[in-house]
Amino acid sequence: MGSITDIWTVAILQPMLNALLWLYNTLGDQFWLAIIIFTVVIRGLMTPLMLPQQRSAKKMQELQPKLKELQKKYGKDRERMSQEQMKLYREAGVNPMGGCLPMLVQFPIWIGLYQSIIQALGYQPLQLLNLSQNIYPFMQSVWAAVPLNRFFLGMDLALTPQQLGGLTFALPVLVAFTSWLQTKMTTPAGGGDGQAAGMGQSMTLMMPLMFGFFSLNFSTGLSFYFIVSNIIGIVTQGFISGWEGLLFWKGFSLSNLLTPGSKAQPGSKGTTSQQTESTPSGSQKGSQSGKKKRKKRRRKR
Amino acid sequence: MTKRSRMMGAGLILLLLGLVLSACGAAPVAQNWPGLTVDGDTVYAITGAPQEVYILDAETGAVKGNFLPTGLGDSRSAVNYWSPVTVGGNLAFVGFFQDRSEANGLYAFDPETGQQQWRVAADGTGILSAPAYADGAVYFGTTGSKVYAVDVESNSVKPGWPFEAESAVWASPVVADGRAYVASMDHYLYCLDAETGEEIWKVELGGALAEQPLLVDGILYAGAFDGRVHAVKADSGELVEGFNFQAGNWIWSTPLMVDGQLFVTALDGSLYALDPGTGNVLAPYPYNSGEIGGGKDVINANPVQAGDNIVIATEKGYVIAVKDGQRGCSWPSGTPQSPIYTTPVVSGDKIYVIQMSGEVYTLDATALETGVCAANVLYSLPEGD
Repeated sequence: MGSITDIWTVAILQPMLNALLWLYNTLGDQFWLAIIIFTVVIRGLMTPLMLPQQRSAKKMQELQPKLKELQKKYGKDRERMSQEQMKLYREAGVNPMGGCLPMLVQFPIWIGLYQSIIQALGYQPLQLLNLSQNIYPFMQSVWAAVPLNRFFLGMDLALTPQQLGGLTFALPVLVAFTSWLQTKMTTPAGGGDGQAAGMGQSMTLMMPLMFGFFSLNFSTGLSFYFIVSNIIGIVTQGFISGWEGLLFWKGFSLSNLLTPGSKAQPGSKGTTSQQTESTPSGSQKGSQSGKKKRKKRRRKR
Repeated sequence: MTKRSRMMGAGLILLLLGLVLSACGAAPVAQNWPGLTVDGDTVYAITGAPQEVYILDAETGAVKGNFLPTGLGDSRSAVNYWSPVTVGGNLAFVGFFQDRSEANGLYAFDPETGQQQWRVAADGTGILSAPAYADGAVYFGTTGSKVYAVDVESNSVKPGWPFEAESAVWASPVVADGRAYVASMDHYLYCLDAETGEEIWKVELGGALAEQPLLVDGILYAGAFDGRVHAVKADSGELVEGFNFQAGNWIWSTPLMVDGQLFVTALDGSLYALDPGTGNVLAPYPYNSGEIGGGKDVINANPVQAGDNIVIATEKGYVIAVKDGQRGCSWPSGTPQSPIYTTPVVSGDKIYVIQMSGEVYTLDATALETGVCAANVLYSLPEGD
């Protein structure tokens, strides 16, 4: 067990921590700036890992109308339904679990980032003692910078919003919101009835709440990381699958929180829930069948 | 969405949550290492869970009393700091800090019974190091960057104080000849008028100063986080020319002068003996504590003298007697149970040691000469603590 911890420390934590400290030293002892630049760099390095996940999300969105049709057709025959779904995925060249592996690979990086931020922000004796053992010997220039300047606009980045109070409570809200927006953009819309859809819908609400909760209880420096990371995720996803997800206020309802796109998907231009139920692809950009159905409905009206 | 898929989604979230919480379990633990003070036949140990001051018989370990701020009641959290206890002027002094508590400050209590006498709230922030008692006043620094001098008789802050540094003050002030020398995490070593609190001089050293300097023959030797020991003239604050020493990691301890050799421990796990004039390492030093148990070790406790030996305590949990650069003996013989960050205390023929876990041991200082490092338990935490 000790060796696993050692491998983790040497392979993940120390490189990240030292990079963060180097940035801090280079950027004029501004830790908030170091966090932002560091997050941008890490997200940039992870792009090759994340793009398949984001592309997969887009393809899954495009397949939702067809999946709905399959559900209508074979809804009662689960085995057949499953076979047809797999066939559809195969034909479209989509691996429904394709997004999971990159996500799992990112997870250690995410934890390493968290740990390095927490370590760098150490301000108590035991924390600094721990930090001293994880700085590379050739980074002696960083030694003089410890303890780091933890303050940004008078806010102590090492303390939690609960400890700081006041306006800092806006940070967890901002984290939850950007996280929700990002999850909403990456989660296959259209509801569906598959396991992936179920998980996606749970994530749309649970993940933001979880990250908001983390931000409430962990140092505010971590909130900076979450917010910047989420914004980068939103922008990247926007370039891949469009920006409709950002128009979240259109047709916004509480039920929408749980079922992204299935009822009043952002960008579906005034659709009512009844309309979207019958046209689950209401906002599915690139979904030809969805567009055709909408045209038909307009003609009927 | 089927019930099953909802369950799977929720399960995945819980799994992620569990992973994050377990992997990120290294959330800040607000703790300082436990203080240990020996005054005559009494030991003051910061121990227990949650911690409080235990007043122990130095010979038997019997508990003579406890100290805990009055009015604290049940509002105790694990997030607390105690400074080590200082005894002076028929009183014992200790700093207490608990996150968001009204009870924070410097306390004076009866050194025999633990009965609280008075409190000075100070700035309400942490007091990490032992207060310094001198000439009827007690001096201490705070994590809130202030240095206080409190008149013990009137238990009020002396006029002109507190002094404000640029960052936290973790180290105990050194008070001598009407001056207070204060090492701060802001990299500065300050010289203050002990009466008025006025700054006489300050000098910027290369790194944060977490421990008090050693004052010998008009020279202040201060270890810093830049891995150096800095030698500063106490009268003027000028650096001693030609003194140069660099360790392999930060220095978080107060040096020790023995027979014209300056001993210093570093977080690289080594004990160095230096020429006090030049900072040159004297052969056959350094002694590296990592030789026991393999790998590397860390030393932040100060070196102490016991007879002809220099005794050091390590993060792995070893107490090692070093003589002429060689290990004489070490304790325990097996695997240590807990790290030791607190400086051992030599009193009479005993060496008192407190582990991070709060257990207090005594070693026979006279037996070190024979190469035996055997320890007895002086105070053990009750079951369940």
